[in-house]
Amino acid sequence: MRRFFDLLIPIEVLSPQTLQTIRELNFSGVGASLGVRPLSTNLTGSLENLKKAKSAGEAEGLDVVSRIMIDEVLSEGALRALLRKFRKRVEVFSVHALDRRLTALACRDSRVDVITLLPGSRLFKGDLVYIYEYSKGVELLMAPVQVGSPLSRAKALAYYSRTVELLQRKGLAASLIFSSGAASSKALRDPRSMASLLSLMGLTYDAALDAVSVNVERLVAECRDRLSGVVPVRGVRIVERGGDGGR
Amino acid sequence: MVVERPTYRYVIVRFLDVDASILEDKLVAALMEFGGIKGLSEVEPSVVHVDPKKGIAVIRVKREGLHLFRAALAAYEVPLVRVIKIAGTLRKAQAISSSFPF
Repeated sequence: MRRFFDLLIPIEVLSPQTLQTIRELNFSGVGASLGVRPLSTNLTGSLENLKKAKSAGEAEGLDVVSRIMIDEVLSEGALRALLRKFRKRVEVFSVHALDRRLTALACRDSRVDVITLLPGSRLFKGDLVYIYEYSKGVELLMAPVQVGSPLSRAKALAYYSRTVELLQRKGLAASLIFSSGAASSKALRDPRSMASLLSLMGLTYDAALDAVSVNVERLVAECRDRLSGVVPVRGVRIVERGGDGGR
Repeated sequence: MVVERPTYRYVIVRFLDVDASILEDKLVAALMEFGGIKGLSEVEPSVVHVDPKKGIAVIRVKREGLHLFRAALAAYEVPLVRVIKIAGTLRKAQAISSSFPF
């Protein structure tokens, strides 16, 4: 049975009622995401909120994934500093492709797990090679298709169609993640409707369902393995630890 | 030449903050916004059963237009309805909707 995930919901939106709605919509997991602003203004409070959301989600029967998202344009040094400081404190680290330099760095750096594409973002050949090499996720958000003027929504839809086509051509369809990016609980939709929307952009319905379930679950599992030390470096997995004789 | 009869799917939904009497108009408006007249012709939605007490409705859509219908609902700014289940026949859809406790 598929387990559906919505990997990007800002932590501010994740009230107990929202968590209940997410559960009712048939999601098994949710990504509680912290942006740059709450991190810079109230660091301890934000990390505390993350812990609270995790325990509230578990009480609701949801698998809550802690995530930091870089949703503002930062310098390369600032991004590296944030990675050094927080990479081992959260399960998923993502960067919004807002700026060319930031996107290139995020693709190049193996510590970044997800690249979130916004309408207008560009991925070059080198970026796609890194995404493939490091098994990163490429995330598209539903919010730009829901909110805004009809023209901006149409442009977002057209951009997503081109991106889906590019990812399929480059053999990266399994990296695709589709999240809501909901700014309020009213923007949440059930996973199968999200998959239906994605399937109109050129994916088969099964592949679209994978983008809200299997692909996310795999990425989260990999991130958790890396964090727990089961995968100490890329390509090495500790299957079993030896006893005294294994020293 | 015989014109093939369209096949339908029956979408069981729970409507949210929408009056049952204007549900079909709202759905048509959402579909028009997303797919235009062409999209509407691919879906041809019609509300075939409403239970205002439970807040459940059954909407008939063309089978080929099911994904477009769901996508239009997902892309609409306001959540109109929440899809509960899809059935292949009206009888089954009504049985499912009557089995819901709320």
